[in-house]
Amino acid sequence: MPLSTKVKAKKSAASKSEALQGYLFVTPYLIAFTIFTGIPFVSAFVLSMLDVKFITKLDNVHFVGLKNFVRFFSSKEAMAALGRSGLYTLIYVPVIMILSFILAYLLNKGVFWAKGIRSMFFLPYVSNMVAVAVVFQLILGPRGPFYLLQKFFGVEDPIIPLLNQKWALPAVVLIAVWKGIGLNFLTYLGALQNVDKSQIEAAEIDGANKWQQIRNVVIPSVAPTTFFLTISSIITSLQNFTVIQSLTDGGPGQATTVMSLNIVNTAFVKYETSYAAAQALVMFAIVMVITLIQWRGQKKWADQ
Amino acid sequence: MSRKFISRRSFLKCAGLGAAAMTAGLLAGCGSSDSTASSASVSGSSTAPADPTKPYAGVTLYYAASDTEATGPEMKMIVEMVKEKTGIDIQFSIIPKADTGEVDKRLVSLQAGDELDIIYGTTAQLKVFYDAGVLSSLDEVASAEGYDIKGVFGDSAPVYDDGLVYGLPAFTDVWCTYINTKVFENAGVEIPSAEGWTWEKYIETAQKLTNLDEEIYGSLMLDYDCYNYMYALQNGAEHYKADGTANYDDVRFRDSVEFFYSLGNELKIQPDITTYKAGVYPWNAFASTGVANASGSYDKAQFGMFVCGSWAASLLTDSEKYPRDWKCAILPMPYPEGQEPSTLTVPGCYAVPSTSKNKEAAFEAIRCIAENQYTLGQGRVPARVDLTDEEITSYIENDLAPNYANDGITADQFKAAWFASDRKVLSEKIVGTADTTISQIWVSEAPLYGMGQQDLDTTMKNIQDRSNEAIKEAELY
Repeated sequence: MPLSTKVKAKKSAASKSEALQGYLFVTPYLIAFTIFTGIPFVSAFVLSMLDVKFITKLDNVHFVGLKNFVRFFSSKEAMAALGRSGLYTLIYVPVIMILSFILAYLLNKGVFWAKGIRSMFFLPYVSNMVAVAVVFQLILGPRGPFYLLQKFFGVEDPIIPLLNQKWALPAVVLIAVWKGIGLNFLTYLGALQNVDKSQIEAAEIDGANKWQQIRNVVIPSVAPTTFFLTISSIITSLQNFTVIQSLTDGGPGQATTVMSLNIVNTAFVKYETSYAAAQALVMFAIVMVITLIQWRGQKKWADQ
Repeated sequence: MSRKFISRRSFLKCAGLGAAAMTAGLLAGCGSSDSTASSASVSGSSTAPADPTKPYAGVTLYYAASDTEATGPEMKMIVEMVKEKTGIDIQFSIIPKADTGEVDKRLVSLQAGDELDIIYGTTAQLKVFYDAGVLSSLDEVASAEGYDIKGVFGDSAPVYDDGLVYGLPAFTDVWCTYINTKVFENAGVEIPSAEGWTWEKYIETAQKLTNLDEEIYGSLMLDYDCYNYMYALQNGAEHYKADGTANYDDVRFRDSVEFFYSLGNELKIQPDITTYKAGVYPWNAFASTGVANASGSYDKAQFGMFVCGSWAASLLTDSEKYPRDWKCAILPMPYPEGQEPSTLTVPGCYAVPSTSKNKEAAFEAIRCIAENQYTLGQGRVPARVDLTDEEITSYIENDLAPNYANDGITADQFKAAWFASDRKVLSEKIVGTADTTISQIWVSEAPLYGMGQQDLDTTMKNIQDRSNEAIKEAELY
């Protein structure tokens, strides 16, 4: 056998062995993915086209095509829930982005006890949501400091935000921001530490004031991070079941009944499994589109 | 004595079938539950039973109950009673309690195939389990044992669309008025008579008892759906019109909502709904407050009267969990002046899930509970129709009243509150098309009026429109 053929055969065997090892490494993940994501996803897709109410009663199931989707888009309650999800995102994303950037910028400039402050802001991120909910219910409740403060300042009819139709959703969003800001803040901090200082100095020499330096040098420098955080914050804002369930359970009235809660209620309170599956797929499509934008956007930023 | 609820195997089943679970997990951030590999095995006795009257002695059955239910004194007595009478061991599968409009984890678990042997529910609650196909019909096993369900329980056993029996009723929960006698004594108010106990008298009495400076309320009610519509039902209104649509445009429902919230908002004889919803007073506030501290004053609020179901009587006998330095008396549920006396009731039933691996033993256990739970003296009104008047009287005088001897509740008080045959009986639960959804609509819409965030007309219109929408959807899909 010629030498080149031998080498090729050896290489081929090595690459096969390497490929096999690779497959072995990814197999546990693939199994878990198939069981916990792949099969449920396919099931959801199939279910959304049927008229299943109880999963234990499949003896009289019919194919209904897109009927569940039509029902969803023509339901006032479902559309209202979708609207609330949109509103939640519209408040959550700008607030968490602006606040995390400001905090990171200030901390990056150097403040007293910076490490301690950094830990403080990250602490809520790793806190248990139920514990957080209990604490905020006390803080914002009728015997809590927020209520007493309103009384102190002469407010005649103090607001209990989590029980108020107008304020419940903004209050929940702000608590979610408080809880989630740690990650965005740290990511921004990392990005800010990589901003080229010579550019800032050059701008300063050219007579740019602080705001001009931030607007024209710092913000463009951290734009890829901003893009990534914006997209991931939008997705996070749609995954809001835990925070709402533990704080308001969708109330008062339906003030905080967003899509995630509506889906769970449809599936497990109204027992309309197929309809819930259709709603889930609509949400999946929304998250998917956002993820695709992020994917394409990241490539664009990486090329720059 | 207890185990975690959802087994790993069941979880896998869930993964395969649970589109909605997927939704919660993937989109809503509601991850998978803590699953443990505890299968609901039934350890049947392999040898012939020593006592032929206890053919299922040694069998272990699993009962799905919340932690509060499983650890309550009545449940401990039930477990001991079943063990003594049948030799069957009952263990608990602890599950979170589900309130109106919340996910019933038992049903989710049974749909996933978890092996449970006994569940408890009202006739309306069990209907959902029946619709899901997770209940066992009891007719076959009863007839094999020659047991006449109708002869013992009459028509109160849960029978659904197919005409079969799916549970045994153990008791009827009858609403009444619990009285904190100390609040009455301190206010110098005499405990009213059961005769002619109307809402008008209730309000008048509660006003005399209320002293907001001392955090003493004359009345306490919770936030269940039925508090909103009880006054309408007592005035003769019904949830559904003859054509099956919602009847909440009937002015009596409007009056009922207005009446209930006026007690806290205008009359201030009980905590307003905002205060209650904010969690200032817990659901068991009537029994859990009112213990004097070292200086003789009270740390927490006191409530003169509490209108609730007879289940709350079991709190009174649990002095360890609810220590009190006051005595309780009982009156019937108030009714609107000009109407006949009435009360809300709900039957409490035991059923055998279809996942049970030992249905015969489970039937034996629930039969034992259904026939005898009332004898435990925990304030239960027996659902049995085969008891003679003498037996009922004997039960009240010899079992029920002695158990409340510390409170001094007399047999006559019990008879008037729970056993008066001339009292009109109204269902505490909504029973009909889309009932679960309509209950949820009540608890989400009505408090908005109570909290001053929605006017009464809008509230009633929303309840009516949303209920009709729910009925229409239930019929269409």
